[in-house]
Amino acid sequence: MYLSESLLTLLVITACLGTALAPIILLLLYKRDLKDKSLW
Amino acid sequence: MLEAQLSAELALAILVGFGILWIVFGWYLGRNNRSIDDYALAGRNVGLAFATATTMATWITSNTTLVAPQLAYQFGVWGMVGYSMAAWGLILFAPMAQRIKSLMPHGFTSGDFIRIRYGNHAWGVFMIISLLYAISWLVSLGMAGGILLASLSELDYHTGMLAILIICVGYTLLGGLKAVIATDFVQAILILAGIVIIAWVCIDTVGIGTIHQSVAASQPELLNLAFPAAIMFLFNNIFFGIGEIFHSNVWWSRAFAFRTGVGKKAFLTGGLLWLPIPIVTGFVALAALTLGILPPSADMVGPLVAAKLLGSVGAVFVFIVVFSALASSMDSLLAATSDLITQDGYKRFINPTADSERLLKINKRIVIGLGVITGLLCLPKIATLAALLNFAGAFVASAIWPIVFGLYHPGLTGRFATAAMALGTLTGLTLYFVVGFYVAAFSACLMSLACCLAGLLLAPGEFNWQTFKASQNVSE
Repeated sequence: MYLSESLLTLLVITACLGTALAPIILLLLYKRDLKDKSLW
Repeated sequence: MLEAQLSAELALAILVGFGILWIVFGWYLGRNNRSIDDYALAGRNVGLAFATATTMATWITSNTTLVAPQLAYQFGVWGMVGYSMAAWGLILFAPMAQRIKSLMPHGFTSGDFIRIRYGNHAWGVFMIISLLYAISWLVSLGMAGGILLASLSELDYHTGMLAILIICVGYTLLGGLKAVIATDFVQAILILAGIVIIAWVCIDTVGIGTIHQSVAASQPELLNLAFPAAIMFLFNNIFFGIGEIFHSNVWWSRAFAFRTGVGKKAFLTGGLLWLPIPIVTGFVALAALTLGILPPSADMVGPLVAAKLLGSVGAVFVFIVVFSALASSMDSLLAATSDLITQDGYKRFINPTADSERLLKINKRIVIGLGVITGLLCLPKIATLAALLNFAGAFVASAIWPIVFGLYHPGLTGRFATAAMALGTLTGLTLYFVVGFYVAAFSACLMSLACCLAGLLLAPGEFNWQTFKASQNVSE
């Protein structure tokens, strides 16, 4: 049983989107903590 | 070796520039550290943004940027998916972080927990496991620094390895955990942006379809969903990742350092955000076949593909991304291991009455000592990164169940916890040599579970959770 091209594409694109989302989430959390003065 | 290799002068300039930046940043963040709590646990009040970033960045390491591509190159699709399963360590540690903070609000190290919960014998075995793992990880990170520079520039292995060590020791020494966490935040953003850009260039210039065709034609086993060794690797890696996180003071010190209520959310969010990263870095390595890259050693495949795709400017870019990934883990490990040695070694055996100021001084000296020991051990390049880390898998996976039962079940006694860690490690090491690296962690975990269950059935104890509260002066 071999991984098809469409499944590989789905796996890689989903992983890329998830990875691209991470820095955005981190920056939004930072903005919120900075506003609430709760970084440390 | 590489078409777009950096000159020695440019590589040194980047290293010196980054080194000065991080060390000055570390000094700035650590200038108000007055007590051992400030230095080693960042004041125990870290918020969600920094907490999430540091869990992610610490777990994005040489493993993710060098070993995940190596495993995709060797084991194909299961290599990269298997590596991403290490995220389960962070995800499952989320409720444990909350439990740790609630049981030991003034706790300091994972060693404290084991000693109070199980007694001295279990503590002894646990410290051997912890220190062996910490040194293995530090050595693998130092070696990765050397490999990175050797593959991306004209500098040699030893220069790269020593440079990354000196920089990390420098800012950890000056800023303590606060510097480690703040630099982790910046490094996490740099690493994630870099990985996405490299993957996008790979998809845009080579194409997923072309990569699939190349792999299917030249090495179809890499796409085989029933590749036996790769499936065993997947299960092994789940237990290895869980063992690494559950036992290591790198993660326990974060559980103590994060503000009350933050630990669970931070580890859960960090784990979910980390999950897709090894798939992306692993996929990039599959392009090696299409691009005609034959790496001199398998752990260099990721940087070589990225540098080929991005050209000479890209080599600088790749250099910064992998350097950040290595530094974000090495600084955490230096800080957490020095805490462990200070509290469980110096304070316990040498100077039990040491005050905060004295512990602070000793902690800093231990950071320097660890840097020197790591440098000396890295001088001979003794093993590939994956082999070195998987050897440690037998040790760490044997600690999973004693930690879990220790936190949640009052019935497991010190005698059986000690046996679980010792016999689990022996089983894992035996199978590592007899069968292969991909069964070490899994078998160690199974044997450890059998010992714990035997203890609960044959001689259950009745641990009083209030014992932790009574020992809450462990950091004082």
